Amino acid sequence: MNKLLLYVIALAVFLTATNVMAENLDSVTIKVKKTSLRKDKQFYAPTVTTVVFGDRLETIKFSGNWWLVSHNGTQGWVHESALVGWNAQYRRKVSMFKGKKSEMSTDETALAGKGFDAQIEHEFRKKSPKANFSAVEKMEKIKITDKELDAFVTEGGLAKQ
Amino acid sequence: MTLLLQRVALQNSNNGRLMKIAASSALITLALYTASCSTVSKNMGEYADKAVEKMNAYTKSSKAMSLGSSNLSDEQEYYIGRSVAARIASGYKIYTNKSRTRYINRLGVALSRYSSRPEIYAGYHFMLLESKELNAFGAPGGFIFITTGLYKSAKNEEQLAAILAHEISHVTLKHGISSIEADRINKGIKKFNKKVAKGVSTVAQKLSSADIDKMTAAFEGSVDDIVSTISSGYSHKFEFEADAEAFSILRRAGYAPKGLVSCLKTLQARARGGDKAGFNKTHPPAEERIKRIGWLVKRLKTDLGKPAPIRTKRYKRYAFKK
Repeated sequence: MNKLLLYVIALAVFLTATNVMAENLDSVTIKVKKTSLRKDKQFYAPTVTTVVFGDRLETIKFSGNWWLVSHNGTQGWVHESALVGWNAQYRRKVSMFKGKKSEMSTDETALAGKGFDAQIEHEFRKKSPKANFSAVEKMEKIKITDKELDAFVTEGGLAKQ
Repeated sequence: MTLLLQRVALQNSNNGRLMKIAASSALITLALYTASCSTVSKNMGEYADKAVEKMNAYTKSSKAMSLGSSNLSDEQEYYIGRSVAARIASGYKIYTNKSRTRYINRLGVALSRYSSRPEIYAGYHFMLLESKELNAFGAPGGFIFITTGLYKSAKNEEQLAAILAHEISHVTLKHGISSIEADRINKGIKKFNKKVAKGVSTVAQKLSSADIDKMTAAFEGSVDDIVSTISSGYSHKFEFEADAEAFSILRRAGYAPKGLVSCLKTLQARARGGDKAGFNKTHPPAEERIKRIGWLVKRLKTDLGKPAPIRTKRYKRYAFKK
């Protein structure tokens, strides 16, 4: 009986460990609309692939504020401010914000999203007809490409990081 | 005594075998853990993966929401920021020159990459407002405005970069979001999140009209809180924090922090001349801010540097003709 119990416990430990590996050990999630995985750990490195909100990435290692991750077999670097999650292997919380109490749980809520969203904005707009959302739409339409930024920084003699 | 020892030895022997079984099971588990048997873990994990992930996210979401505005997600901050920006923009005429608008966007996005939060939900966006006022506004979610009056007061790109870096810092440091009264989030969203936390299936259900009304009221109140704070000015503490973060951004980028001091001296001169509007109304006295930047320079054993001629030349291409 004792032997059987011990085998059951060992099996439970084995199942838990492997489940922990799947759930928490090697993954983080994208919490911005869209971003690039890059060839090197800086914003001026070429893009290797694009990832979007909700994409889960396997983590390989980190260096400073950058994570080397894998997405659908493609590896690349991404800044931690685009990520949310707890990486158990490195015992490191990937949060958007340094040194503030919001680190505590914002990570977990980043994907929840329910509450203040497009539906609620739509209701707000009905109540605030004078608010100039067309100006906001115009602002968001302006997209500065990586190529433009690279040229801007180079011309201005600024640091590339 | 011997019998006792024999009995203990026998028990230990049985226990020893059992311990060996337990130890080998643990070792096997540890070996698999260390070897990162991803195939096995993926198969086993995926069965519960999606449902557990959603449940955890929403359960934690409900706990987080009860803790107040500082725990809003990036996506929620973006939606609030859009509405704050729309309210700010409604008070001014939008400046439509494409060339200068694109210039401040290139400059602003480049600067954001040196900040503590280079990636936010939908990125940083910049717009000019037609006004003689010397003013700039940083709404949550990265929507940043600068008046043409303040743009014109900059004599070079170093100064313009300092203005934008200061506003970017208000966003990265979440000063706008932190001005939301915690109760608004708790009352508006808590009840809904309690329902969600009970089960994954409630996530798929539509909000009741009562829930929508509560959330909209909380949203509207939050937008009001932020707009009111931006209009009247952040606390001196927040302004000094934004100056310090801006100083850091400028240094990392390669801009001379002298630009920040020069801007403040311009504001100081305007205040002495009787201009109490715009920045002078909503910010601490320029003298105090200049003094604090001086302390930073001393502490970091650096200097203010000088504006780079190459960047001043670029700025002149986009300067307003006098």
